[in-house]
Amino acid sequence: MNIEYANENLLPGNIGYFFVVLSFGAAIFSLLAYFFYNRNHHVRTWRNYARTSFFIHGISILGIFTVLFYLIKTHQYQYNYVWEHSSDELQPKYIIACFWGGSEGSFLLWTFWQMILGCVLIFTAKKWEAPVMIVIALSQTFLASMLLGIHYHIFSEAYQIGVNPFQLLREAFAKQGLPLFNDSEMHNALGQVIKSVSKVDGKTVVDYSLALKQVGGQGLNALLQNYWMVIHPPVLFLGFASTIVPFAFAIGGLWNKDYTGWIRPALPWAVFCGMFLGTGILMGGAWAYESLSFGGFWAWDPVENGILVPWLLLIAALHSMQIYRARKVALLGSIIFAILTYLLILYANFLTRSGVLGDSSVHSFADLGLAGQLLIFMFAFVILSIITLIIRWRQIPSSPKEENISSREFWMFIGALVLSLSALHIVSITSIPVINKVDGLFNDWLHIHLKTNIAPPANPAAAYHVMEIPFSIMIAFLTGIGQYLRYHNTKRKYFLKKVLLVAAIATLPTAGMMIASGLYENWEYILLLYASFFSITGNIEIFIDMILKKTIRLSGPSIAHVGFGLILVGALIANAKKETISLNTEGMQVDALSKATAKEQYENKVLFKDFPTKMHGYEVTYKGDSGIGNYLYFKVNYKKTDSITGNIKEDFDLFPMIIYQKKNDQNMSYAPSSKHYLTKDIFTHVTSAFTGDPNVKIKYDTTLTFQVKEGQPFIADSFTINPISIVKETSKSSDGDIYRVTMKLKVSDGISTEYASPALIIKGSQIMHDDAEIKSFGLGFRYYTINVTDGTHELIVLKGRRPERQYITLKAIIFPYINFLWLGSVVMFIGFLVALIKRIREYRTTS
Amino acid sequence: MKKTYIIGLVLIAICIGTLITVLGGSSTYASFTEATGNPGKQYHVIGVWDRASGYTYDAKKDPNYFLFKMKDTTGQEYPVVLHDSKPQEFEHSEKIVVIGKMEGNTFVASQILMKCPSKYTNAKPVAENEGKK
Repeated sequence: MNIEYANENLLPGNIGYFFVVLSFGAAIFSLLAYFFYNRNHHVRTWRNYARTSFFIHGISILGIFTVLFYLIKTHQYQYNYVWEHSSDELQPKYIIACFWGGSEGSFLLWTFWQMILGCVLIFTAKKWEAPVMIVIALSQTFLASMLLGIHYHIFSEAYQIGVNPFQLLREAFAKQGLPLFNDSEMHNALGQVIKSVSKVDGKTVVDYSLALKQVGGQGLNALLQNYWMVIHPPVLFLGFASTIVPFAFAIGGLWNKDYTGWIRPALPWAVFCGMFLGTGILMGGAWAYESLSFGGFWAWDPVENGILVPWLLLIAALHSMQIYRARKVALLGSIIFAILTYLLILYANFLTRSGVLGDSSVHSFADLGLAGQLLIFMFAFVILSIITLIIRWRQIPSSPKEENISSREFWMFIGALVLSLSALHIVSITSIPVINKVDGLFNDWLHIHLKTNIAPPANPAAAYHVMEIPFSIMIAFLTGIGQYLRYHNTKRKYFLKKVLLVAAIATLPTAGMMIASGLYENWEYILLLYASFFSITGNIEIFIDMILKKTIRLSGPSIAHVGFGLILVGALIANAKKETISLNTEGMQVDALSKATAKEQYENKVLFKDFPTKMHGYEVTYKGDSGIGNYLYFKVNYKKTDSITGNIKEDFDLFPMIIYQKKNDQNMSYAPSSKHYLTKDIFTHVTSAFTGDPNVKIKYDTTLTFQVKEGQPFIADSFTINPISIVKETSKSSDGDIYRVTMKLKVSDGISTEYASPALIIKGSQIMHDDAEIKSFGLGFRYYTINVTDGTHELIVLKGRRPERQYITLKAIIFPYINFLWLGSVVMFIGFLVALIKRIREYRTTS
Repeated sequence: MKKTYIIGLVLIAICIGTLITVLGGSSTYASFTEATGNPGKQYHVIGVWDRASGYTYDAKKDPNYFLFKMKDTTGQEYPVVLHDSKPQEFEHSEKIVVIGKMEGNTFVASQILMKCPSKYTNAKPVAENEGKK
């Protein structure tokens, strides 16, 4: 069939794809040119070629961004990415979020940051430019290939390289074997049929672009419609991208046989990376806590773990590198930790995008069929690292003597080892789904011979906490003690005096916190709390000391450690002492099964509209709902009254909501709302809702007639009706004056109060009625007539079956002392910043 | 040199300990039959919702009682109960993983994971229509 597509506007897509190909080609050329430049530093021509092609690569990436932005902004839904991730209703602030709403877009964000970092390194890395840029250009080549979208066949097996973000919707559908249109009509996503096909001069012309304009795109996933979605990904991906820099320096050092020189220029980058990756992770936690329905800030989801593990290794690398700077030991540790950090970033990338987590994480990206390519990306760097290490292993200088057990470097290195063990533990559990996939490649050998099929833990929190709590305790103690140790060796008397003092002082906040939060029952928790306060106290003491000695510029590490300690305190107490206050103790369901498991906590509670329910000293009432755009808000009122005086102590409304992907869409997500106090948060989350059917038709079976007067309430059946006002309006028309008399009624059933305004319209001799209904009460009103004789008004009240009362089910959780976590996050960021400034100055002055 | 050896040995010991805890804390993918043979033990069961038999969730009666029938990969069908509200995207699910244990003839799930046609994007038209049938 000869089909022509009208109004497809292919030009921007072609320009965009041109940039995709150019960015790929320029990255390869830059890689090769840097390779030759690295072989001979005297030939500046290669350097010029390499730089120029890297800049062209950078401009292409900006070009891809610009074109994609233009397409989203102008709603060109014939492009698959635009159709999948945006819609007309989308608020302007989320247009930028559409970029990274999909897997292709987040590759773009990653490659963008890595390109920016590459440009910075070109100008600052000096003699390290060539080896470092080889690594970055290699990574950029792989990332650019993820956007190529080339499809080919080998022995009738279909393969693809990358997914083109400028793919047309019809192409995307065709690839999946789905019909976008048949001979005469087109089906859109909502299942509607749109005429978009016509015959012109014997040719079939399809104008699906126009048809798509009418129905719009799929919209941004409701879960992602949140302001965190605007700021969290750029920060996280900046951290994500920057992990390549310490890696590139370490590998470059091995290649060029400068085994120790790489540490100084790499240190500021390691701090930079720790800062942004750490902040990105914590922002993810804040997002999850504030607006997702995880019920907490950390769920040990593989997506979260995947990024935490490289951060832990990076912090290990950072400490090893610092040890090397100070004492010329722990070189091998620095190299290995820096390398592992980036390899685990690639592993996280593989886990979240390949679909391998399909059964174990609900938060990973959709599988785009890139699993093979992602594996090649990862293994290319794994093999490169292993070969480099093997070839150079014997030449890596080892430290001549052992560290003294009373030295700071010894315990700092132990700390780095504990961090890496903690990373090993987390990555092992997270990798369980991978074990099965690998086993599948070996014909299920494990499955058959061990008669088991290993699955992720049934209770993830418990499985992670069993090791992570002891590790955290060790790390917290080490960050406290380490500050009182000196490099080389420490005087015993000084150390004992200081540490014992700190240990004594730390018991005070620990005891205070235990009393305030009621954390008594678990000795491990108490020990962690104490260790955290030990670290906080010690590092604050050091910080004060630095202020007094006017060496505040060196205080970055102690500030960061205080922040880390505060994070541990907040995470511990909010997690250990969180309390679900919506526990359903009434046990409405009385079947045998419920009874059998009645010990378990049932966390949802039903709130009927306007019926207050007691929860944890609060009277909680569902007051109604209101829709704004694609958001549906529920008003939930919390009230606390003093039991003796009866005075209202607290009275506030929370607005948990449902976000629909688009208006009138099935896809939705429930977003919580929290009341923040200094010492706790009340987290409220709607889990299901019945808001009534606005189109319901009430069948009236009873008619009651009343003679009413303004401001005089009366009883009708079980309702109290008060005609609060009667207002007359006059308007002119061609056939004389029109009078409209409106009676405003306030109707109460004793619990809820609703309003209705029936009206009487008099036009000459004609009398018309504008009737009103209160559907939720099953009542209808007709303002029948005005009795001129006695000044009363005749009101007819129709009564029918009252529809079901509206209700929501709700989960409410109190998170105590969560503010320690947020405060700690900010403090840690400041600590990293101070350290970064110091490191950059140091790099500038010594180079 | 001794100190390095000691640290090395401790490291290896902790690594082994860690891996044992990981295996010990892990669960197992199983069929309903296996789960029935070992009541009270936690399993992961993979299957699909039997759409024809619908589901039970009446929040007014009990907001913490969600019941549906699931067919596991071996074709066995058992009722599954979740003591929580109905998961948001249950109707869209293609594949379900229930985590929990067998109690009598019912699988009591503590958690339900759903695989929807595509997570961060929407169902393509065909998948959506199938769901409505």
